[in-house]
Amino acid sequence: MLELRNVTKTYGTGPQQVVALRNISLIVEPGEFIAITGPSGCGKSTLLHLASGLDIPSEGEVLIDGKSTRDCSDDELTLLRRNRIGLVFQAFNLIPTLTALENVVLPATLNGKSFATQMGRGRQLLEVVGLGARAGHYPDQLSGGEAQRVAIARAIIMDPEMLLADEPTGNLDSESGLSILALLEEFGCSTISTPAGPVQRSTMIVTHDESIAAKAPRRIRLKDGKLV
Amino acid sequence: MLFVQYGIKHHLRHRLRLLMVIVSLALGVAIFVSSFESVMAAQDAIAASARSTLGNAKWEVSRGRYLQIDESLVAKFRRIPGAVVASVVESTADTRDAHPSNLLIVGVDLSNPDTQQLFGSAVGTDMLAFAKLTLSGTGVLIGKRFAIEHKLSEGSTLDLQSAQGPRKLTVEGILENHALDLLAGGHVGFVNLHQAQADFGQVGLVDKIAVAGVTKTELQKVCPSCQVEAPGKLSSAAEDALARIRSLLGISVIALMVGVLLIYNSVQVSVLERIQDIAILRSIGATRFQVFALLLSEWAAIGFVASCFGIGLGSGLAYLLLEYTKRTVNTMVPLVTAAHVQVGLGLILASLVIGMGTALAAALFPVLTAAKVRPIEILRPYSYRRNVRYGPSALVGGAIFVLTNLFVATQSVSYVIGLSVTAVEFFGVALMFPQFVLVAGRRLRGLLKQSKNSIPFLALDGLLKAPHRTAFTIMTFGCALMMTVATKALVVGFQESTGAWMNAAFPFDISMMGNDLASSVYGSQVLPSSLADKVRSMPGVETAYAVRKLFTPFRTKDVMAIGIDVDRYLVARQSKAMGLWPAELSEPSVMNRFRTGTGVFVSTNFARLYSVRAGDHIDLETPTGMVNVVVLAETDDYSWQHGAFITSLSLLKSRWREDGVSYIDVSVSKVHTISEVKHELQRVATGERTAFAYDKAEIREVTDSVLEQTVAMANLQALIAILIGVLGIVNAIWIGVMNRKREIAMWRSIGMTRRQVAAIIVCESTFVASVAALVGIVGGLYGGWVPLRSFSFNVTGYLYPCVIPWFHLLLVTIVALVLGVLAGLFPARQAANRPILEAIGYE
Repeated sequence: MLELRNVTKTYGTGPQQVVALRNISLIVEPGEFIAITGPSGCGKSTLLHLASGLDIPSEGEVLIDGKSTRDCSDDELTLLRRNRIGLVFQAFNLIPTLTALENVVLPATLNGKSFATQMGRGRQLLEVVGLGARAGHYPDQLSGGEAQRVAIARAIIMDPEMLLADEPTGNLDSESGLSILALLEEFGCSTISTPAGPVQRSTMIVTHDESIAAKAPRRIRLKDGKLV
Repeated sequence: MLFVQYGIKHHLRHRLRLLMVIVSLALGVAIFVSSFESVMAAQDAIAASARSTLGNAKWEVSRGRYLQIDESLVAKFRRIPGAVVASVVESTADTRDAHPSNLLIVGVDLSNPDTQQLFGSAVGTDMLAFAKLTLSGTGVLIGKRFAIEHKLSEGSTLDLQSAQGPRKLTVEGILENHALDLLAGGHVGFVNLHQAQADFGQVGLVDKIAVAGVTKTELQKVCPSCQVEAPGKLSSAAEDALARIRSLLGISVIALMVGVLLIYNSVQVSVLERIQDIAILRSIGATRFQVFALLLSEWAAIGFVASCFGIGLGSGLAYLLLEYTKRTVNTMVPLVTAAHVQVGLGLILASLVIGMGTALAAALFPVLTAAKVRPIEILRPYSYRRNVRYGPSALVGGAIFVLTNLFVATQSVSYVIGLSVTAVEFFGVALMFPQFVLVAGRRLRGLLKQSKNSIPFLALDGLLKAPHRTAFTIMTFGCALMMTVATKALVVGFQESTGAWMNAAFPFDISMMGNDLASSVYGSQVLPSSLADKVRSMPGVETAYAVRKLFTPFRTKDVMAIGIDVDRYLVARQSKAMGLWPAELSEPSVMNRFRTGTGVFVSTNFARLYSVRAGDHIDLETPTGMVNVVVLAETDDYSWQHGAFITSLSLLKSRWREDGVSYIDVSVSKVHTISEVKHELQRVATGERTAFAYDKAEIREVTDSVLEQTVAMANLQALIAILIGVLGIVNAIWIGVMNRKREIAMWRSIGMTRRQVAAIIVCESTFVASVAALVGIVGGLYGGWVPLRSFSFNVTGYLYPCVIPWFHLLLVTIVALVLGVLAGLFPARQAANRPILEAIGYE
């Protein structure tokens, strides 16, 4: 379970200080699919970064299963992202010199598994996202929508308990955007097995597109760093 | 102006990279400046010494370097109207005081007005001193500098060990003329001509005649067989020493080439980083020429700044190298005191041209590429070029490599041409290497994919993102390592062949000689023949044979004549149960000819250099006229790089009028130890003369150390080149990190720890270093075995065996790997500590 408790995030100091988030409190339960919306610069991405442990709040706490990210070491946060959180970016962030398949299996190799042993799982995921035939293609040979599908496959290869997507359709045309959203919906609330038993994955997507957000069961709107 | 500001701002934003480029270029220029200056300083010192011994003479009349000329010619020359003529006798001696040093002894007739006219500027006008010297039989005039160094004053005794034995001379005067400093660094003593002739065993003969006021033709008319040359002719040993140190300039050129690759990398990255800016400039109307001029002028300016630093650094380094140069030269030619490093305007300009030229040469291709860029290609998103190919350039490079090697293997080339060809060969390899990296990297990638540890795979992936940069970085570091491996391969080959030769040819345990090997290998001091008899009668001495070596002209070079007391030499071999050497002596006719001096053995390099073989007849020039001898056989002999022949001692005595001996080689009886006999030999010789006794191991040590001394400067320069190479790795890996900010941030965001990121980066630099070590080892062995060996063969006629210096290779590998790891630490730290969010936002 993810909980943001009275979280404030500021950047800079003195007169140049910018408050990105103000006193935000939020609980994300397992199996929830949440869309965070709001105008540009309202703090949507900051919220996602804090939730993923990529950043630490200036005030308040981000708690994952009751443990504050502030109390986690850098390695603990890294392992959290590797094993329990899947991240999808607006700009895909694929490695241009790795094939689609290699990009997908990359997180698994960080746990000491060879590329070769993960290929089967990677292919399976690419099949699921509809790119089975494109496994050997490089990112520059894929369309934006295809690249984002590869990024989603990469995000779920470790069976994370939480999927966080930052403007996943921002660089895509509306048709591709809808298919990506469908994929996120499909994987977003699926049941996964963990050492503690089966749990439902929760998903949080950041988007400024109201039509995309409309498809989420729970919507959170931000304005000037506050929940509205 | 705006363009200039834009360029400056860009480079200031990447200060550290700019600093690395400037440092590496400055180091390259510094190597060039320091080598050039130290070599020039030594060359000037040798040339000044050679010139100054002839005073103000316009011509030097001689019969070659090692033959004396009849004094009666002086009178004949004086008959030419206007001629100013003075005869000169020269010899070197060692002082026998607490601080032994060399002294050039010049015998001139100072009572003669012509001599005063010619040597007045060197000796000064101390007429009282002249008069004393003229009257004195054992007097010497010395310079103030030498007097201070040896605590001598008027009336004190100067104790010398000359080639003909110990001499005591009285200091008749101390000359305060600073011009003397030019003469062998002030280590010069003037003695009465007749005294010198008597002392040096050449009554009626002089070494050369100094002449002014007449033409060369007039002199040649009087003595057609004489050599008439302008003063300043160097001895063979001096030329040899200079040739060795000049070769260091070649290494500085290689170091600069190493720098070119490093700068090329930096320029290319700098251009790539700004490719978006360049596209914007082009899209708003900047012409290709404007872009080209902007970028190229930036790198010209960087080249200028780096060259200025390099000149300053090089001047300082030159003083350090000068010490090496002096030592190298003085092991072969005593009396050189090169102490002044002067960076002249010419050298400054040359260095600026070289430094800026290097920067511009490295920048030209990337800048041209940038100027040709089509804005639309760059402004389009996702314009990463993955399918780079270097096939055509690799083919061109391969062709260049093959052709240059064929040229080196089949042509007898001069040093300069050889160096130029090597530079072209280097260029060929540089062209081939990106393709090699690409192909080899892709194959290795497949293998690494199987590994459980993804770090090597990702490291290789990072390197393959810019194959040309990786290739050039490997080349940069690899070439620096190559330099040390190549010289070591040659040195070890030389040591092995000379060691085998010494073991096969010499049956002695101890060699007694007149010169101190610690001060000069090619000393000319001799021992009296009678000493050999005395040594033979000493307890512990089983056998002893005498050897005389001298230099004698042969065709255009000076070769070494080695005379052996044949019968005693054979006895010595027999006592050591060694077979005949050379083996051809088993033929009675050969033995007979060798004994009688009608036949000679020639060294292998002699045979190659002068195209002679067994059975050929050769004419040898001697003080008693030409001698025709038959070549009995070729034999291994590494005594002299211009070739040597071995004959009987009796021939040398009779035809070269040489009575002394150079070595007395002693075999120790089984009941005595070598050190006991060595000690006894030195004791017996004391008082009669200074003699030095060395066992075989010590002689090996000295010859090896001379060789090590010669390559010491090369190794120092190679070390600097290695430093440039390490900077190249840091630069290239760091550039890779900068270019992959977003990718690295992505690694981190999907769960890669800082340690894993750092490990990937260190792995990249270690990859580069290990391949560079491989390149250095393979290229160095190849370089040492093919081009270097070929040059050595062309110059000396020696074809050294191809030996693998295993220990050195191990050392090179370890050093390369350690440096590789160290080079990766800084970029690794940068990569691991980069904030993820900032980098993800970076594009």
